[in-house]
Amino acid sequence: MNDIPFNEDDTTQQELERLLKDPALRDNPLLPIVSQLYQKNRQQEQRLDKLLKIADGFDSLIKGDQQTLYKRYERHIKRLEKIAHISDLYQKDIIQLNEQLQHISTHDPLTDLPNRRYLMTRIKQLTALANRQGRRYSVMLLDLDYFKLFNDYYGHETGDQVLCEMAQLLTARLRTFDICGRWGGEEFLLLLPDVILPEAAEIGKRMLAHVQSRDWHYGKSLALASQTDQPQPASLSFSAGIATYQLGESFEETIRRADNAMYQAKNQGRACVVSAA
Amino acid sequence: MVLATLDQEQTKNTPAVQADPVTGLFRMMGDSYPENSFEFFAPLIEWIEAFLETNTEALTLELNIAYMNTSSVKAMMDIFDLMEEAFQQGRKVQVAWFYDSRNERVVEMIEEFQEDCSFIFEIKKINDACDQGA
Repeated sequence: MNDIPFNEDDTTQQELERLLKDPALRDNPLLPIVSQLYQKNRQQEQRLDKLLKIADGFDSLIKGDQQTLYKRYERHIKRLEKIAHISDLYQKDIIQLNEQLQHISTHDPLTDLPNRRYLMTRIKQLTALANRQGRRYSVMLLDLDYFKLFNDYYGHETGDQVLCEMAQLLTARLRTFDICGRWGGEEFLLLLPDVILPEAAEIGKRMLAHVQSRDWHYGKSLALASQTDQPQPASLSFSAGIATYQLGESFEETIRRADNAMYQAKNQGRACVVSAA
Repeated sequence: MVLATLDQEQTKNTPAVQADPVTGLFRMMGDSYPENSFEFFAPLIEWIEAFLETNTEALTLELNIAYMNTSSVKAMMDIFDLMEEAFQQGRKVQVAWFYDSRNERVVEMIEEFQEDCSFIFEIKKINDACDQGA
């Protein structure tokens, strides 16, 4: 009993214990009552103390466990976040690869212009619009003149360079919703929505003048390499055929008419623009 | 227990797997997005666990994986955890992860894996898609 100290006042306790044992007070009628109250009080204190100790034990146990649990939880969350993060990166990568693939499948690798497949898709869309809403479009097929000779003269690398520069030159002079694509070899196709023949022909002529006015200087001539090291001037032009979509015809027919017009332009001496009938 | 040699062909959505218990070389090549990742990775993880338990040789993981789905990422992290644990206990383990020079973006993902590993973890560029890097 003595091992449990009073929390508040040690001297009061000691005094009380001394009085309870004092032989002079042995016959005091209050002694048994006081003694009983004292014992009761001590027992309650002891019980409370025990309970507190148990409660403390539980508390520290729970606190310790919580920490372990929390740490484990945190580790799992971090891991999950990392898995999600890496997975997101892979997803981003695959989206970018898809975009690249989409670009590759719709663009010409040399000039980076829309390719024939893409042009066909757009022509089909424009045809559908034309049939549904009565909107018109024109197709201009243009073929570089004497390009094979140019290639032979300057070499294929220079020829490729010319194709790229021609692509830029043609594209730069178009409206944002016009499309210039590579139809094949040295042939380009211009798709002009909401443009009909007289205007389309004007666009073609302006472009031709622009191409012709440019000095195409390319390194030294391969054919003349032995004779001169000086850059050789060259002049380039194209022959173009233009057709405006006519209601009721297929887009293949429109392209065919533009193609025929382009051959007429070739036959007329090249470097000109011919409108299809 | 004699550990088997693994030799699995690459499929459309699972990488080729080659594992040699003699040399301790474990290789994976190809994209990884199995329909059932657990089914695919469980035997591989078991093999690595068994190798680390029964063998004292070094374990070398050679990877050439360009794309992984989420559950493959998790499985790969589990494998690296096993290796890290073994490394902490003094085992010699290492990873060499090869990537195609045409897709530098995957380096970012590989570095994420590398971050948690204290053993040798190399990231190596290969120029030719046909070069397996080993």
